[in-house]
Amino acid sequence: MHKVIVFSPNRYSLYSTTVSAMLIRKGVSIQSIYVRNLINLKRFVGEYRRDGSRLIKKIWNKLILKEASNQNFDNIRIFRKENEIFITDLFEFNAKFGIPVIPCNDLNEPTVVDGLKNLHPDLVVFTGGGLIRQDVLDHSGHGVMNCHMGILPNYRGMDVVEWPILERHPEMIGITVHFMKKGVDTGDILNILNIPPMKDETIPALRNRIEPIMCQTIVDTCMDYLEGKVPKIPQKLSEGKQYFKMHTLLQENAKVILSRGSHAK
Amino acid sequence: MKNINLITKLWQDIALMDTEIIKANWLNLGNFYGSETILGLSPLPKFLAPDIPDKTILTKKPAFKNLDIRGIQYLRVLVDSNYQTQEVIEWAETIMRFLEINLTVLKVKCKNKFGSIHTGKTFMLELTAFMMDCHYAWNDLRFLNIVLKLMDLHWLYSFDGAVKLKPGQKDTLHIDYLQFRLLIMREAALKKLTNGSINA
Repeated sequence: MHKVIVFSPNRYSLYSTTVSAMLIRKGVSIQSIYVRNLINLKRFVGEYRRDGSRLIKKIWNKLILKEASNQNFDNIRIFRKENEIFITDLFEFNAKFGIPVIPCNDLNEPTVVDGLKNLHPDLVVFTGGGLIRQDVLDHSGHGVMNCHMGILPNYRGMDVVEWPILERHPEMIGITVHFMKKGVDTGDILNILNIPPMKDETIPALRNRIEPIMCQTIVDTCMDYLEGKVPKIPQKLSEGKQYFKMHTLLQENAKVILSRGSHAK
Repeated sequence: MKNINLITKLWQDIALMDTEIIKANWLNLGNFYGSETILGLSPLPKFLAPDIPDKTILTKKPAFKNLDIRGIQYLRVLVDSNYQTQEVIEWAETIMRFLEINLTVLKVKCKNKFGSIHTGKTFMLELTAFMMDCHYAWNDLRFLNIVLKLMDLHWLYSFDGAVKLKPGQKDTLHIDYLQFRLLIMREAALKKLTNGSINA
């Protein structure tokens, strides 16, 4: 039986609970789930430095509104319903399956490294939670697997749904399953899926459509990799760029470009 | 295009300047990478890039801490000359990454590096101008992205055109020239983008 550890950004993450449930159904043994504490000043300061005022909006949408937000584009909830996934809190995995769910302030802290050293997982499935340091990567079996919402190596970093639209490369929207490395989104590639925008689709709707595809793809790729069916392909970093949070003025432009249907060259 | 009247007025001020002043401020007034054409302003006389005596910057490892105003100016001259060595690209990428990651603490970092916020502001405006030049020279929107974020920082960019672009106190004018340059190039870049003429 394949042994996997799951990393999660917060106990209520729909992505984490969905991926964990799907892995269990595939017969994977989840040895433990490390989940970052929600209330953590260091985390808040770090994320505020990165996201600025957008963090407040993110917290409001993800933690306060939960069910109420994004009702119009609720693909992941439909996906969960179709797949009969009803767990909404990672701690339920402990109650139902006896999987240790271990809270931590940071996924790089020594307790996590010690846990990895003791459990010797085949790999770690990353469902969010910040940058991962080398000592964690070193003790994660085959590595830490992540599904990036962007096509690698071309679009590393953040807002990589918006950036290809702005740069008029809609064919470069999609997801990539890869192993994590010290640099941002630079590790070996396992699977790439192109998901170009559909006619009249908005950016939030597109992102929403991508979310359940990410759940399915990371689980399928994880299984295929563990069964030796997927090779690791090193990235040619010179073929891509690292992108950062897009300024609101550029976001507005990306929206207009997409709505005009002028995103194609 | 809420700033177009201000830009037009200031552009007229520059056009009336002595060519020697424009020449002496070449990095800020000598080459707008064609943004004046995008905004429908009449072009200014063209001058050759100045010679920057301190060229040691390329021998240093790309890092914020290794950068000074002369170093930035030399990099800007290299970008303008289309001298795209790997070193220049590495400098630009490293600085952009640094600025993105440290955006909210740049004021403190500048104060620590220079001891005075005025020198820090001049340095940061030069850096913003460097990022803007990279955007125009390489048609790379990531550089415009960081410029827009930097221009949102009130301690750094606060240009309202109240100070006339005429010779006088040197230090203040340098900042005004830089801010004016950023204003016109930002407006032109956004106009170009809205019109759909940027393809990365």
